[in-house]
Amino acid sequence: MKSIIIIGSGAAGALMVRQLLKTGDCQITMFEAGPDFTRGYRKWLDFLMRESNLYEKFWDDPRVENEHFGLRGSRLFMKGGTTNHWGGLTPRFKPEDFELKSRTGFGADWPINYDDLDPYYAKAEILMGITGDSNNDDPPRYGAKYPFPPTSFTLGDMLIIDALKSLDISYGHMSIARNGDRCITTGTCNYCPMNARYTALYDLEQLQIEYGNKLTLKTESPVTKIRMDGKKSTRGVNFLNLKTGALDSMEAEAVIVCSGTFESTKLLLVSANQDWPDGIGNDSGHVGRHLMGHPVMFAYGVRPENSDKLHQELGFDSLISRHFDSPEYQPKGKMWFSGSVSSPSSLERQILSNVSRADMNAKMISEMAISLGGEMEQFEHTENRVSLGSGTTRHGLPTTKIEVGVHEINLKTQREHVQTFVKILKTAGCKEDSIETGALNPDGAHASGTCRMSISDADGVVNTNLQVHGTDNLYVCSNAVFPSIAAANPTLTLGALAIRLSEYISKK
Amino acid sequence: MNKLIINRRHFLKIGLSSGVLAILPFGCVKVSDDDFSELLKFVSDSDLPVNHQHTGELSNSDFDTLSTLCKYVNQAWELTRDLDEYLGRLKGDLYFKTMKEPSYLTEYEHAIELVNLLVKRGESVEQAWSSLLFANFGDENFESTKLGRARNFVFSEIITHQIPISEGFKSFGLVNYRGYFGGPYTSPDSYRRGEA
Repeated sequence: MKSIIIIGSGAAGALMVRQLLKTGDCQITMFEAGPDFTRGYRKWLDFLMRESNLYEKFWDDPRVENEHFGLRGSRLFMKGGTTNHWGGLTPRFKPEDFELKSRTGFGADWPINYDDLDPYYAKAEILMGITGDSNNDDPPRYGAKYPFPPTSFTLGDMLIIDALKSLDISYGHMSIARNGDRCITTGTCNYCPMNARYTALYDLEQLQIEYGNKLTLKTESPVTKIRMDGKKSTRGVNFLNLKTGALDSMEAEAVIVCSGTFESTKLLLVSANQDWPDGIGNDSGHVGRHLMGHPVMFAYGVRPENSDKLHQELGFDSLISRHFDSPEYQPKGKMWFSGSVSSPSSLERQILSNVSRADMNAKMISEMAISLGGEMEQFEHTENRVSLGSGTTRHGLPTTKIEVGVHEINLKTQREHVQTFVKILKTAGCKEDSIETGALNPDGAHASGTCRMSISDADGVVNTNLQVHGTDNLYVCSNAVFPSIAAANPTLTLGALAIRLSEYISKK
Repeated sequence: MNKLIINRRHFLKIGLSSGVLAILPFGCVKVSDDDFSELLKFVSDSDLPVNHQHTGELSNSDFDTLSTLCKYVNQAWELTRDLDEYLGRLKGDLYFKTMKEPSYLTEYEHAIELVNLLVKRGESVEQAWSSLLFANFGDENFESTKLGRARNFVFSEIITHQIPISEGFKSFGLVNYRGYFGGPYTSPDSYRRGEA
């Protein structure tokens, strides 16, 4: 029986556990720096009634905040990691996303291509219970079916769709990790009472029941160092028990780092030893460099008519446009966006403000809010990097130091995309003076690139099997291995890589 | 001495329409000076319910008093014809809020004291609720007073629960709403959809 250590209990870790236990004879120990989280009806009630942020106490340490790359509130340190509050949007990358350097001169190409990953995308879509349009072949699906049909467009979507049609902007159904057998459209998706939205938390709970003692999950146990036996082999990890304060160690035949971009990177750096003086896998200096994220754009406007009393009746997006997520836009920075329609104010808020029924009705039919939001591809830059800060966080992990600049071409394109949103809102009938726009810097949720995949150790940190160059049994499986980030949300691609790696390790 | 500063001019100043003023019962502006100290007694600025470890079941009479808030909102905003089924669900849900930590039991008891106080002074239940929900006080520590906390932890939460669970939102022509179990997304009844 193979003994495996997985560090991090987010999407990558949970999907790896599921595949490894299904296909291989192994014993897995998973380490999570954050605490356990017990679900229950009372938590759902609090989420509904107080609209409270259940996850704020699991945010990153305040000292890690950075002006150009937000960390607070984007990642969660808890069992299940950031999937506890993710939106569940799961578009595939497109074929051209794997060829950024060849096509544009920016960033790096992936050493694998879309077709290499396609079968694993299909498997990840099934394991994560994704709803989507199986007939949409952009990107190509080669006949693979989503496990659940797409969410039909809402009546409110039609206003945005009409505007898109008149501007000749293509659109489609959002692919989203909402298990169609469980979703009951209750709109409290950030704490789904039915576990319909995929979370690694629920996945791991099921795996612990299913596989019993083949899986041991140690929460509040940050790994402090990867232990090496010579230059090529890892023999396990050192970890801290936050409950007792005791340092401990564990041995294993393979170690897989699934701790997200920042923590995976810092763990390689902090594990420096005499064979790897600058950090494991860092002989060519790529560990921590090439940091990328998704700059965000949004716009909001008020349309002075709402005879159908449109309101947000579905708690998640059903519409996506990947019109600007195409080869033509790749040299400038690709972008996808979604939109929704709602009343400007909730019914309870109006009642609590003593607005009369008559006034509520009048307001409801007289105006609606249309909002658009999207993310764009950021080009990597060698100088954008993550390194070790001073001291440790309350989770027992090294603090994060981030150095980033802003790519001028991305800034220019971001402004263009915002203007596209404004045009769509005006076409949808929003009053010009009601339109507000904004743009945000990338944040930790989609951070990528700092342990990038490459053919040679001169160009990156891990090989095409996500094995740290120059090692036999040490792997990184996080967004950190992405050589470029594309415009699409990264989690499905990460899931596909995790399944691919599981199969590789099982066969090894 | 705290000063009750609610008046029509104030409402106009904060942008509420004449329609709102028309439905505002005069009773809601008549909180007597004698009641200020009880309504505005400092309780706690904790972001947890007061004495959140004190668990227990809300008595039937206390639940009946709290349920008058739902009846008042239901009637004043013409939400649903029959509240009985909803009140059964509310009772069950408040059980979860008082029996598990952080317990809302003392928060609910404080809120109930305030309603009883105004009713005992001769206000109708409707007037009492109108005053408790909407009267404006010039107290800079209002959020930490009994009334401030009751608005935040009790009245606001219960109304936020009532709109979806009582299906009150449907009276506005909506089909689904945050917190309502609308059914499978593949069901044509779960939300209004369009044909692209």
